[in-house]
Amino acid sequence: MNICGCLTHVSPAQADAAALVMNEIPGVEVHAQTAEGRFVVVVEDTPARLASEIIMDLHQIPGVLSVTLTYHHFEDIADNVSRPDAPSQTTSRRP
Amino acid sequence: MTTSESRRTFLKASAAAATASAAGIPLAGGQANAQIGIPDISWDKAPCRFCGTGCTVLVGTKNGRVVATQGDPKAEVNRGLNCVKGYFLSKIMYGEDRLTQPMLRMRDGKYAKDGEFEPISWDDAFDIMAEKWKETLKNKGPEGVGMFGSGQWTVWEGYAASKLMKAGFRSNNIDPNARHCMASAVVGFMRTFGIDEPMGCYDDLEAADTFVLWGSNMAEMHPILWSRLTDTRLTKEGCEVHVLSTFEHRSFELADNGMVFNPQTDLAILNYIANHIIQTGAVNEEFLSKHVNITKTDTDIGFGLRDDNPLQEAAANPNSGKLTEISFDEYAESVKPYTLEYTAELSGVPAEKLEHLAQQYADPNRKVMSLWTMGFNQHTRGSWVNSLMYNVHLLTGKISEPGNSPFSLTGQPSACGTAREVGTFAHRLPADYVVTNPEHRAKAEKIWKVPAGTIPEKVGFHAVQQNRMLNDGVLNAYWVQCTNNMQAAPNMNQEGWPGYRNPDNFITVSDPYPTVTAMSADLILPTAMWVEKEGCYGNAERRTQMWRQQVHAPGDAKSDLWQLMEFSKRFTVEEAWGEDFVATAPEMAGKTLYEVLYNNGNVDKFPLSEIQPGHPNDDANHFGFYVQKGLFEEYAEFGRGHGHDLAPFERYHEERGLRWPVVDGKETLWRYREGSDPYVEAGSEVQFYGFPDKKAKIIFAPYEAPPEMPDEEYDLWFCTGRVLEHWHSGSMTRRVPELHRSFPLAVIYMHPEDAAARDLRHGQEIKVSTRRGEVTSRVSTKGRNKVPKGLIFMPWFDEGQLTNKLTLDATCPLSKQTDFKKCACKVERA
Repeated sequence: MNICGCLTHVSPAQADAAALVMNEIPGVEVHAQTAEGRFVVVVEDTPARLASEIIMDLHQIPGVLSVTLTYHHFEDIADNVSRPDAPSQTTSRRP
Repeated sequence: MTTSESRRTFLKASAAAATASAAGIPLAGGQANAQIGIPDISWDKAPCRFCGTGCTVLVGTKNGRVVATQGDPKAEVNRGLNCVKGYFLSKIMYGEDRLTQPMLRMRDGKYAKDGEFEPISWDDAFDIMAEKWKETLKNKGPEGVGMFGSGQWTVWEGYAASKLMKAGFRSNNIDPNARHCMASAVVGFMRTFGIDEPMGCYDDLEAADTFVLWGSNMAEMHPILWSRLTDTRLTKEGCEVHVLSTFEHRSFELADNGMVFNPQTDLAILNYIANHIIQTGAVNEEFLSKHVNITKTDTDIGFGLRDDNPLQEAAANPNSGKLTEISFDEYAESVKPYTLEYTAELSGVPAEKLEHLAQQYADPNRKVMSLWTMGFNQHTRGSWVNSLMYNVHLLTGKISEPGNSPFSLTGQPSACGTAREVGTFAHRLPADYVVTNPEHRAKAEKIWKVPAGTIPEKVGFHAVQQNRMLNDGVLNAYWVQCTNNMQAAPNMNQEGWPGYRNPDNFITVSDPYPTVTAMSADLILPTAMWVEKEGCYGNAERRTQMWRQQVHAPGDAKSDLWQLMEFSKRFTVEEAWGEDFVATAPEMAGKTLYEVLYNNGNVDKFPLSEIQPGHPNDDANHFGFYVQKGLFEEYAEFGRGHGHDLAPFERYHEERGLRWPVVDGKETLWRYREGSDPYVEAGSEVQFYGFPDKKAKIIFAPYEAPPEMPDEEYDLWFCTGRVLEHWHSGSMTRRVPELHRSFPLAVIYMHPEDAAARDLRHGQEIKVSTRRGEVTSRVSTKGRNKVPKGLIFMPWFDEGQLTNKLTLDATCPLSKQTDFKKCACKVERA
């Protein structure tokens, strides 16, 4: 499970419209918005899409100029143990 | 196990708090100052493993494994932010097919060039490798061995490699992949300023009034710097962003003046701007007379192709970089033909847009920052175009002060720190010294404590030449570390692949993953990466930064440093240098290269007790001394007092990096400017001290057409590049499931009318071909890149679609950097 905190720059003229669109997207929450168009957005995995894919979608919203992450947590990975003795593979997993 | 709702809510609040705190935005409910306290995770800083921006991330480890990352609010570069690649970067070490054992091509229990990869021990791996290298040294001499390295090597790995090749094997056949990305920038710096790397720094991103992107898609390739630039654009009254490219990309979304120009005509546009500055009386005459010499460069210099290529034979002055002094009036005459009308016609950019751009540079009241990457550098006139950019800034004196900044961005985390500053190029030594200068060689031999005459004078084979020489059977024993050059180098079908598979050659590739390059080798060595070792990188703004080892590498994977130093134990000086040369230095007789190069009283000077408690350091413990510190301090001797001063080793573990020169403990933000740069003498205002007369050079160069342009059969421009989600060849990012899923396969961006003319629809399978090969892909007529008619764009990250089967190995004749942006292709339905 991925949870990401993103700082998003939005053109001020389109900021309110963009905020509406974002809040409609499952897995997205806008936590703060400044007059200069800076948004604090939290994105999490949904059953349909990974957080990373949702972040890529944010780029496509009209007015969005940049999306950067400041925090990423992936708890299920933390539960895995390292496998230093795992056998190496001779070929790439992608043919 | 699913995470409970309350924990989810807590983690989301933490994410919001961290973001708000990094950006200085108040959050309702007073959460902004909340500390992120997740138990059992220990945090430590490290520079990001990817691009040349040099962001710092905080890396969280738990049970010997990296489990989380967050932006580092103390980092001056990224101020708590990171891009999408940066945030998934802790997953790059955990791909399913991570290599953990050496693998050799074998048949019937023995090495066979056409055998299958089988696991072997490190001892057996070095045995066969040393046997092949010794055989080559005996038969061919030092010219027969070579190494291809990386702008992703740590500083001490590049340094140890350069030493091993130049002093150990007495061969200058070492070159980094930075040749593909930065070589033209370096030649531009050396010709214009006599010293490498930008004068300004990232602080210019807040200080400039106008930003101009020349052949750079910062929005996707340098997202953090782009977010700083965006912040300035949105908050500073009157700030403008100008973007030039051969197609429309994401950076155009912020552009006040977006310009799509015909390939190669950037040469003409820059001369037009110079002409505009002169014609409108905007030349800063005082600055020019005090600080600048004016020259012109030899023209018609060929295209860096093989010498017997007809285009090369037709050139009047092949590979000539000769400069001739000219007067200001002669210079003004040279740029005069580049009128607004002529340039608009040639470039295809509307005249009013060009004029608006030129006015930004000419207006004395606007501070201008120019930014560029591969559009300039991967260019058959890359060295010229870099200098043409400086011409514009020098004419107006808009340089070396906050906001006035011609700035060459970098693509790799240590293209500057390792490839350039350490000097892992075929012609270079540390701190801008070169092998062709006898005084420079003598200095290196003294610091390295090797006999006079050890370092050869002859420039070695550069990157593109190495593949040609492998192909020709001249270079026979070859070692590639930390780069995926089979996928990255141009003209793979005609040079790279036949070179690696030439039966005369023995190819070793060190990598964490079975990349295309590794699978093309004869021996694969598994490599420890990033925070599995202690490291040091240098970013694009001269910032040197270090990290400590945080986890152990899996299985038998070893760092490049360990590999280089262990391999050196396999050779006596007699075997590496030959008996004749050893006879001139009898005190060296019988020693191994390891003893001469690394057990020399410098590298082994610092004891293990100096290692930070609580951190592993597998390399130091193996060799029995603080090897990273010893190599760094020996290396730093080259630059101290010579304009490249580095701080003492320990300081870098305390800081989020420091920008060199670091003199009296202070970093330098703007070089060449009095008061900011300690090397500039009082009362002089500005000194370009890379040259003895402390003046920079304006270098006039004209527009010249590229070697291969669209014609009747191959009727489209073929341009290659990158995308946000993937870093370079994708060997790391494609192993992060989130990034792989978000852009799994390369597509070819094409204008809808070009597609319609070929009866193609969006998403359809196509065959792209050039005179060198063909690749199957899918066409995209929408999405983030809008290409003009007559040009297609293909990202090269996808190893299932080897873009470089198609590219031409034409280079800038001065920098030897390939032009990956321009050749001719055709597209058909597959």
